[in-house]
Amino acid sequence: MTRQITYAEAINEALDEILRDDESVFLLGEDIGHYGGVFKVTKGLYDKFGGDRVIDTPISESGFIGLGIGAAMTGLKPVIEIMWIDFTLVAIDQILNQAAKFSYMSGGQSKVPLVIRTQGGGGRGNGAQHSQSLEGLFAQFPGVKVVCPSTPYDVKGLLKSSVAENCPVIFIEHKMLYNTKGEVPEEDYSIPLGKADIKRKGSDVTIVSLSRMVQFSLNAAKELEKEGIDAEIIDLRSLAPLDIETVIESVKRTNRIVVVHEAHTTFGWGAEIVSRVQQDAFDYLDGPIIRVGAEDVPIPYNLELEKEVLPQVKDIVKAVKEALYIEVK
Amino acid sequence: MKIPVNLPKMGLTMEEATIVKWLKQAGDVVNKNDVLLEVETDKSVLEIEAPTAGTVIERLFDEGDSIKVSETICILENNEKGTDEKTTNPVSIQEPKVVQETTVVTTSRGKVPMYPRFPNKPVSPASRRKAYEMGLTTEEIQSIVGSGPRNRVILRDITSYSKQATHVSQTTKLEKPVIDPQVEYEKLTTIRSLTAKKLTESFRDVPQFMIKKSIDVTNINDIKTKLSELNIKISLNDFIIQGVSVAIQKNRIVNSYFIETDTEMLIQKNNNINVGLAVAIDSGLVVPVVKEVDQLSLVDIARKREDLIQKARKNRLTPNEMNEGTITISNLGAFGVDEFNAIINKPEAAILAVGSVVKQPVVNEFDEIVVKPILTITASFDHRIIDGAVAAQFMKDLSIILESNDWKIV
Amino acid sequence: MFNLEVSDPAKLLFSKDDSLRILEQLITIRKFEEKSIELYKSGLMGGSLHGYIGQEAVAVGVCSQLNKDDYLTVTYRSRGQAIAKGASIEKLFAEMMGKVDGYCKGKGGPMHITDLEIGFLGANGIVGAGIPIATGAAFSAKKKGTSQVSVTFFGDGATNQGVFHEALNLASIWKLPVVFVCENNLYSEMSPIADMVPNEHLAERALAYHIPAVIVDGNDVEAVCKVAQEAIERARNNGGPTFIEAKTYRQQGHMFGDAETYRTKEEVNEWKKKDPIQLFTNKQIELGYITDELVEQLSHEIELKVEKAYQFALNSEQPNYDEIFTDVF
Repeated sequence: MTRQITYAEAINEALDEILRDDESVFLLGEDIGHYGGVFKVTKGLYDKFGGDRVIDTPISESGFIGLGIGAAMTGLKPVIEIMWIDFTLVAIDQILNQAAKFSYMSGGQSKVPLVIRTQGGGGRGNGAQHSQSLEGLFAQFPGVKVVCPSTPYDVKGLLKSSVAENCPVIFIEHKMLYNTKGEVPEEDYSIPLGKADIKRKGSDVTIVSLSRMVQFSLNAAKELEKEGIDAEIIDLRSLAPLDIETVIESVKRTNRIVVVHEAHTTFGWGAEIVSRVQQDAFDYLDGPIIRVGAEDVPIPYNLELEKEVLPQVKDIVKAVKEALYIEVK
Repeated sequence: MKIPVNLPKMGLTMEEATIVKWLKQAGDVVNKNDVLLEVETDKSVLEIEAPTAGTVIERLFDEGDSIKVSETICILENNEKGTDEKTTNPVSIQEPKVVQETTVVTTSRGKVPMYPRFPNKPVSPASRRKAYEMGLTTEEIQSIVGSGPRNRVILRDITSYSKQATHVSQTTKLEKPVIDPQVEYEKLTTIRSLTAKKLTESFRDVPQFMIKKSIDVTNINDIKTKLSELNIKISLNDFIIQGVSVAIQKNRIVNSYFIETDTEMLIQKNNNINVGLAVAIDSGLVVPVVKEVDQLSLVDIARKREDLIQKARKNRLTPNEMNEGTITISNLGAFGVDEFNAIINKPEAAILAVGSVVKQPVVNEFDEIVVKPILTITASFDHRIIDGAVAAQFMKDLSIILESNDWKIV
Repeated sequence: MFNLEVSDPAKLLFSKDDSLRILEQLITIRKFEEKSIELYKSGLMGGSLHGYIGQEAVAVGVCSQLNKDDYLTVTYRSRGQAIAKGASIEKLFAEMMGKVDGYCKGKGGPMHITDLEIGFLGANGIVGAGIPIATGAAFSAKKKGTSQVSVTFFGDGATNQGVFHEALNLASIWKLPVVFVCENNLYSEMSPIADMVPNEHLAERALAYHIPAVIVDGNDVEAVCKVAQEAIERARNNGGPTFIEAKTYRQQGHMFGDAETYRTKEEVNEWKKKDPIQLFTNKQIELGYITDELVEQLSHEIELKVEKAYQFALNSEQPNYDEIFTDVF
């Protein structure tokens, strides 16, 4: 049985089921208990599972992520919420110097099964310190997995798998997706990490994206369809592990590729995709690979300016045409 | 260290070669510059030498196989240590237990096919692969005008080109040849098949017309006799070569190339006069070139021509001795042919077909009938750049020179 | 505000046998550290060597009061605490040499010694980073209802890192069974701690978080034992965290090769007169429990043991190259 629920409700359901099924899981974060989370993702869980399982923390990101690491190393499974991804930068030592490296540094003795749930991206005028897309930063560090779901179905299935991992997972939700609806089955399911999903089959061009940009790419595909262009949309779903094979397979069929992300263009993860594709599918490329990303400026507050800085559907349409030699700069 | 021996590019147009003969076996110890094998290109037979002393450890092709330029033919091993060996950990005092280099390699891409490259023409990687898979020739790809930016050839250009090509072949080649097991076939040699391809192209692409001229070679015969008394051997061909050179200096257009790019047609003006001589050898037709003939005396021409023909007969012409020709002479006089037509050697603009010298009655300036040694030369011209009148003037000048006493002998 | 805790010079705190065992531990650490310098000088280890000579009484005093399953986090100046907690000196030397028999299979090195068997959650290259992690282990213990205690060792300099304050606050509000052991050796790397904090006693900092705090003579092993015992008891009995500031002295530089321009030879020599091993040895001799000969014999035996461990490490194999790619997650 499937029904339509929102992205936020899907996360809530996943957390609910995880807390119900695994005694060692507990939630930790700012305002997630009584208040139910600033985006209401943890709503009702405090009442259901109590303050021992759904724990409000002081505003001490380094401190409580460090605490989560210690708890994870000693047999618990913390699911930590960092209210805005921008705040992970406050705790970056604990995430990248500590959690990401313990297994390796200890020769495999220490495991850190820690999920850090957070939300990123722009689109609601939150300004430069509350609108960033930092997935590429985390993906550059061996030892953490980085998941960026785009739909209610994916976010639930991927969160369940993330909690089952025996390593740190950075689980990046998108603030603009919380209220989007989609089909989610009532039955239990999970989606393995590292499997890209082809959200739309197509033959003329491959568009690679994740998180909110998947929906933008699908909208772009609709517009392109009117002009007879058949775009294939690949949702990477996670940057680490990276399912480059699905991308390569697709490019071998379409011969053109556009990479879309909300992160800043320069040094964005799109460059990694470009590099891998030219390396593994060079002889299948019929033109240069185009990147669509945010302008290289801090995200402005003004909604119109913000829109201009972040990739929009029209930018994707334009990039696809460029890749197809329909419109050349 | 293992040293791969690759097929070198030994001429501007060389793209592949066929192995004629292996001179070394796997396991043979060789010195530097020892000949490892002989290969045949469209032009001649070449020797491939060992780049270093060592042992032949593997031959990657057999006799009869064709190899592309830069492809590895065989592998030598010398005694030097390579840089591919793992260096040991600077703080280690023992060798690592097991060195598993394979696990370090995370991406293995296997053998990359050698798709043709087009240094001066933008062709998308996917187009190069597609064209290669479809068996399009370099010339065919060169002829495609790309629809991408800067005329880049992109996939759709290849696809539409192949549709056209299919259309043409369907209308022209109605019947596919059937191989009959009862009949004996022989595969064309590399030289023969390339000659076939080239001449077909010329016959198909070049609108050629012919002009015939009878020439009195009395003076040439006299000079030849006098010179042979001095033990100097000059053949009729040598006179014709020098004659052509002088006639070209009065009609430079005959020494040109016709060139067609993606967008325009051009006349390439050649400064040097390089005369090719068609020579039939066992494996096919080769055209060694006597270069810069306007700088040469008859004696020089004779010496060079003789040297080139000897090499041609022994299959030892280098690519350099067969390129840059600007006009060709084909002489079948030795076979008693009175006169014949020849097909232009693209991109040259003219070819001279030379028959045998025949004694003929001729009416002279005093209206008397006299017997003269007459040579018939039939020249073919590329009508795209040479008009009838120009060609006629060239033939007239040529005949005046050949009938004259005015020669640069030494 | 604080009284410096010291032992009673007239009598031993423990029995004759227990006292001798404590002395044996102190000497083992000393001999191990001396051999480490030899190891470093011979070029058989990478990176830097951060020695512990002069501070042994803190490690032994605290760890002698812990159970095997109690947790510990430490900084890179960590072999002393590891030995005191029961680590194998063979595996310690092997790890320092990067060998396959080392604690971390040669992948962690001296800065990242980990032994989960004895609750040694990992030495850390970031001075304050282990503090919240130990707090997390304490959180685990409390949540699971075990009576385990978590101890974190750190230096005076680490009290200036943000996570120190965040972790103390978390431990206090959640009453976690954690003991914060600050080894005040007077130098924050190469700078006097007096220049870096306004407080005379670092223990004052704990009071801000309502954590009971004591200061103790860190060169008086019995005094350390006594305060540690009290702190650990409090933690085990659900009394929450304790802060111990152990006043001690780093007899050598921050790391081997440190020019030590920030202090005088006289100062170092003054402190060497208060050498913790010498003090405890003299006390036992003066009280007639042991003789010079016995101490000499004990030292000799320990030296042989250390030498044997060193030889074991020397003969251990180099790790395989395929170890490079294991234990990342």
